[in-house]
Amino acid sequence: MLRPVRMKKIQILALEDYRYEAVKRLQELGTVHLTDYSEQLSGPVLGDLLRPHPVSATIRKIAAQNIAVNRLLDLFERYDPEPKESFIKEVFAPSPPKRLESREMYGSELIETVDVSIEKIERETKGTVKELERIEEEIVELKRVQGLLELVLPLEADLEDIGESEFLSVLLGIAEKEEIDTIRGRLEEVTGGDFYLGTSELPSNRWITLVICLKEQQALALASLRRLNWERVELEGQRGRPREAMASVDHRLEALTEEKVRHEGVIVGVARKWRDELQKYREFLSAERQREESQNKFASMEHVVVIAGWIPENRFLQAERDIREVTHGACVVEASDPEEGDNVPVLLKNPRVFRSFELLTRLYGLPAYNGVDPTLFLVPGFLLFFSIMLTDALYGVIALVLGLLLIRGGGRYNQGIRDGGVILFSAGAATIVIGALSGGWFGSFGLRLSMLEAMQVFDPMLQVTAFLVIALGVGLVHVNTGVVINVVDNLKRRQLWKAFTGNLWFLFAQPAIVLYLSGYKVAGLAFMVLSLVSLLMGHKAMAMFQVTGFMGDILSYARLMALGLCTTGIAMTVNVLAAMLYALGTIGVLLAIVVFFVGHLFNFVINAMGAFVHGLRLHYVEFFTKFYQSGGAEFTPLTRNYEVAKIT
Amino acid sequence: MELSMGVVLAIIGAAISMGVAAISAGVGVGLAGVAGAGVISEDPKKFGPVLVLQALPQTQGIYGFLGAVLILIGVGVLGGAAKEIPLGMGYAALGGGIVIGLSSFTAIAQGAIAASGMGAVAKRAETFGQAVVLAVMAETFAIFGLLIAILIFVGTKVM
Repeated sequence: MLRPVRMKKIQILALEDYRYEAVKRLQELGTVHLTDYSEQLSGPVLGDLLRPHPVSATIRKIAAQNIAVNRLLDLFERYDPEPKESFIKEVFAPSPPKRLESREMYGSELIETVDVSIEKIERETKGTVKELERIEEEIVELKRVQGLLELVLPLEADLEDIGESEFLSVLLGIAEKEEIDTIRGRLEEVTGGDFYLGTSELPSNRWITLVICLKEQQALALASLRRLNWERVELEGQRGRPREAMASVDHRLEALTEEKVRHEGVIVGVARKWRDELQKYREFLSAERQREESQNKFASMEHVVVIAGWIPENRFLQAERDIREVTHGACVVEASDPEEGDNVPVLLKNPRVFRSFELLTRLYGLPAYNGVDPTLFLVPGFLLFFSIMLTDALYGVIALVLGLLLIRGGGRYNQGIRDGGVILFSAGAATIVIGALSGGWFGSFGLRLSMLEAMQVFDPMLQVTAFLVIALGVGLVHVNTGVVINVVDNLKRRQLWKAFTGNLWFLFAQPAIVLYLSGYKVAGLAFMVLSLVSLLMGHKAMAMFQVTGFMGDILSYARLMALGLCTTGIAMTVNVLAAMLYALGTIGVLLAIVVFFVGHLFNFVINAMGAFVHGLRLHYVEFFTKFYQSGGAEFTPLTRNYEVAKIT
Repeated sequence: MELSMGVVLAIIGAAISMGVAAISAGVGVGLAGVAGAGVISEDPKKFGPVLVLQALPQTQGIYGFLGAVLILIGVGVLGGAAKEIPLGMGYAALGGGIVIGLSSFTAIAQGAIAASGMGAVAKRAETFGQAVVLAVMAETFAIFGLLIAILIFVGTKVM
């Protein structure tokens, strides 16, 4: 609770024959974080005895199957997409996730079944997929031709004649109306009069031009035409007039589309039949893959496999029993304590009510194994700071309701949403209390109700200096708590020197000042001497910076007051604006209501975010730095995570 | 409406408070937004974290707004009739407005930090919390500016 879960090193020696069952059982238990044995193999004792475990024989096969399954599932998704919920619905009112009941499949049975299934599906879909690709290509080409035909639709010439014949070259193009005469003139020059220019009008000031010239002069003609903004239309291979060609293209497109739909239907059928199976196989394959990949971490001797890892202390007996059962006794299972310098993985364990707040600790970084788990201290501090900075009871109600919606909605299936909801809910509840005490109900709006006014004991806008003093006082207490945690932690670890010289001077300095100022000069001086000794011995040249550092830390808590005042101030502004609009009459009343709600909602969002961020920041920078050691590695046990498959 | 010189000075203070803060917050949010557009062009799913990071430099603008409103309410321009306030008090209000306006420049730096933070989140989504904390560090001084302004207002009875 105040420290990460105590771990033990576990070492298992088992007959190689039972390796698969042992690993599978470990995976089902989900309590062992495997360590890589190869790190220890370079040592003198073990280096002779042990070799690295050979790589799994089936891992390549499984990886290939994984790729094939994903490819097929992507294909299904492309032609028969599964319905997806909108973001809002997913967060607030998600439908239960899909679960498929199934017997668990593993080992060679799994690999064979997947092979057979993939083969079947490929047989059913390969041909169709090829056809669809071909159809798609043709459709693209036809659409291109369609576009070109559109341009020259009114032309009354036969498209078969476009192109080159024995002596002539027939070119089709589009030109601007103004350029026609220039074109005529240029062609006259270039071909010496041996040309024909036919034109047909199009809407939008452009004309279709048909140019016939001698084949030898084609290049010259084209070059000149191009310079005059003439756009060539290449429609070789078409027959009949553009209108007729268009009709035939349309017809072909229709036929192709029908064929395409038919083929797509085939794939949809296959998808409906096989999708659930494939999704299950994907999960089973993933579990199998983890089992096989873990072998890279093992060591082996003759007929023995050696597995090492970390396991929570209280799970060891269960694991030992299970391994013994699964290997029929042909095993040796040992536990030992972690040593200095071991990189022990970190697993947090807090009472259920506080578990959601582990999210805030993780945001900063996991504690070191021997450090303190700050989650328990973070909760009251964060709730207090948040509520002081968002001093408005009705904003607290909004937060509380939002949190509740999240917990009851997406939080049912998603742990992350649930954690966020719990944090928001608690923060909202705390804010309601503080808001009521400081008379904030959408600013001073709610104070018209005498019951609410009676609850107010403090007015942040009037008692500004008092508010500041309270904020700094809270800061002082918070910082002291951090120092105390640090001192106690050091004492528990028998590091007396560190306990004395770390931040202890601060704990001595305060009574020193208080006693001196209240007349007990001798006692005050005694404490001051203790404090200075501790400070100088611990920090030597940096002593001065410690003092200024602490002063800065405490002043930083002034933001509690500043942000609290900010919320109240803006709430007051919204009320003033709404009141001014209200006084204007009928339209004013409507506008006033809009401004009131929109304004307070805006204020809520901005200041809730600020309260959250700054509340966290005060913990991370002013509190954690007194005692926290981060840098722990996460405890990631070998486990299986079936989201879709439900083992019966 | 005859405005005494004191009220005029206070109004100028309010103007400086809001106006300068608006510039700084705008530049800060703008810097962040430019980076944000880049991030979501690569991965639209990151819009949530990007938006939160972009919103962080806004708070200096809010402080400027608050300062202006406190001044205007204090001298009676908002919600009543402008009071007769002595010249000295007008200067005090002006001073308060200036300190908020000047300390809002931190928003520009905060916007740059937020922009880089978005880059970190784009590469590794788990650094989001840390990126937010980095950006928030720049705000400390704007808060102190607001604090001093409030203390000025309270001390000279503007508020």
